[in-house]
Amino acid sequence: MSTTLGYGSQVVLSGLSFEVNAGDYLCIVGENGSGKTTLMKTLLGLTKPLGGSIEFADGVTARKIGYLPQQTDVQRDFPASVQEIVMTGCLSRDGFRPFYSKADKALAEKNMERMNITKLRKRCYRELSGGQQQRVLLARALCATQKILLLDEPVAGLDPKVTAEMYDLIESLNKNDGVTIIMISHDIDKALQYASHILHVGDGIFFGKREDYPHELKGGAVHE
Amino acid sequence: MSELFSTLSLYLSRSFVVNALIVGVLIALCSSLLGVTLVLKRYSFIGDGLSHVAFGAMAVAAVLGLTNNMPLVLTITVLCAVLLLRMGKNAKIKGDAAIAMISVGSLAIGYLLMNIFGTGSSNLSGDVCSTLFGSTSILTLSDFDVWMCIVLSVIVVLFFVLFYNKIFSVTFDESFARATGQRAGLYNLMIAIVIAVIIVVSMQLVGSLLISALVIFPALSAMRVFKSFKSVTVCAAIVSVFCALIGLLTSILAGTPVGSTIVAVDIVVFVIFFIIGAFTKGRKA
Amino acid sequence: MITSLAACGGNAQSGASSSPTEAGKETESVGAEAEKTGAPADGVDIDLTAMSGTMVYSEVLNMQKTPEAYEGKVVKMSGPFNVTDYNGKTYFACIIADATACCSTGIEFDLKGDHSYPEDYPAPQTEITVVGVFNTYMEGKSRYLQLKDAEMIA
Repeated sequence: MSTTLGYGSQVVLSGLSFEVNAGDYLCIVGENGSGKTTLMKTLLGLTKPLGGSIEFADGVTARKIGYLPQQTDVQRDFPASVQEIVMTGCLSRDGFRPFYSKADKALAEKNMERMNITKLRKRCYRELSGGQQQRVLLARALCATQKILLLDEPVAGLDPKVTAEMYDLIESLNKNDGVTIIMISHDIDKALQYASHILHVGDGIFFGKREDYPHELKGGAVHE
Repeated sequence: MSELFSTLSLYLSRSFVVNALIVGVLIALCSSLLGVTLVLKRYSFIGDGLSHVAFGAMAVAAVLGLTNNMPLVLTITVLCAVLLLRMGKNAKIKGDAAIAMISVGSLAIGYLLMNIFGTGSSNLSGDVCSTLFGSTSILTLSDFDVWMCIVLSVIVVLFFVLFYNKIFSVTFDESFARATGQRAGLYNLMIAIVIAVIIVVSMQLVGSLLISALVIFPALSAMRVFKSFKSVTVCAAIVSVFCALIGLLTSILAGTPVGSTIVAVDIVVFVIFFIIGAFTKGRKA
Repeated sequence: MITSLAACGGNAQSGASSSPTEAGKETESVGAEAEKTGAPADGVDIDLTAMSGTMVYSEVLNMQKTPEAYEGKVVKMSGPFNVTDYNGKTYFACIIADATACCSTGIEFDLKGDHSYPEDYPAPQTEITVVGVFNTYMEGKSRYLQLKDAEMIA
């Protein structure tokens, strides 16, 4: 299954072929503009592939995917409480029902616990630090899924200590809770440290286990 | 002071004044609810553009000699709303240029049509002036208008209450909503239609040039001080209704035009909230 | 565009009507505050002289839109006096400007008894106060509003 990815009339990636299994931790790396975000958007169904197809197995549909997108400026400044934001993760399950159910509320509680943000629940989102905001969005993503999480540069702009905490958090989700992780990252070193598989796009395409990652590619990939 | 009250009770005995108050409050309520979404989605100019489209549609209705223009105006405005919001996403003509074209075009063509074909009333400029600025339109509603406004307002409020969580979701993060399988496209469409309805109805209160103010000022005021989406929305609604009431009563007592008076009150309230917000933020730091 | 709109005032012939059915030439409107409880002391149902500009103008527009609601009410109004000749007849009216002074409309009145112009009438543009009974009549295809059996008080 070989796919061509792009948007509008632009082909961004072609000849791409890879597979992700349950419990994997895949890092997508590559230079800027190499098509990582386009790939993620295609996986999420936000963009259609120009050629080829994406297949999901195991009852994973759009409704069961969790997504942590890059933040926009609007959101950073949004008047909303943490709890309100986390709860929106439950909406995919609710269909047209107007109000959240008790189960939804319980799920949100649990995920806020996991992300260690329960004490922040009434706080205004725009007053939180970068790291806290990311944890809120992660809690929201977890409300939308039990199985698979797609993260778009989750540590962008965070300081080193917070970055390390995020990585640990994500790893624990993967190892302890069995959540499949697909993450776009700029940081190849961290990717090699945590991921089980690597997908390198852009200057030379590679897909395989992290151990097999050719070190020649590393030189090109690190530069921003 | 007692003279003020006796004048007021005198006015309130006139049915068109009572109608104006009821409809005015409902309009203020609806416009503020969606105002928060409009501001946060950065759609304020769409609101403005749609109000000019509504003006153009009213011109067409007047030229055609329709006594009840709301159905026609509603239809045209809703269609344009849907068009504009769709174009925003994937336009060959860029979003804001499209809005400008449609909005200013409607204004110009509307006025032109009214001039060429006449509207059956000999005071063209008066009609146009009133439609644009809402100096007295809320006080001269026909019974049909009043019922239409009430019904539409109730529908808008119901929509808002039933779809509140989803409105919040697509306002805060549309990509996430789409990605996790929420029907973001549908909700956006519904929001667009409701915004069009609100604009057409609000024209009766403040005229088409001033609608943006009615929609965004309460929301902006609330956002200065409140922290959760729910509290911002509730505050915006209260502020809006309060300003509309005070503005309406002031204008009939003092003899000022209704639309501008309401907006003036909105502005004053905004300044007050701004100061409160600045003060409380300062305290926290 | 705004300044050109503002220049529409001062003409009795511009009946500011928003409904096409009233081809307002001159419309006489003296709104009666009639719906107050009980009959008002001086017999006036709608006293425009006691109202703010916004109310007066709205009242007048409502008279044009739904004249049936006002038929037979005693109305009192004041404003500049205006004389117009149209189709060989002379019409007298009292003018009202709206709150924005953007536009004005007027109400025709017909004095009780016999009078001749110009002897029995004040100079045009003089401020007058008129009381009369609200009435509508047809002339040709159009309906006109007026105050009949009117008296000039001041």
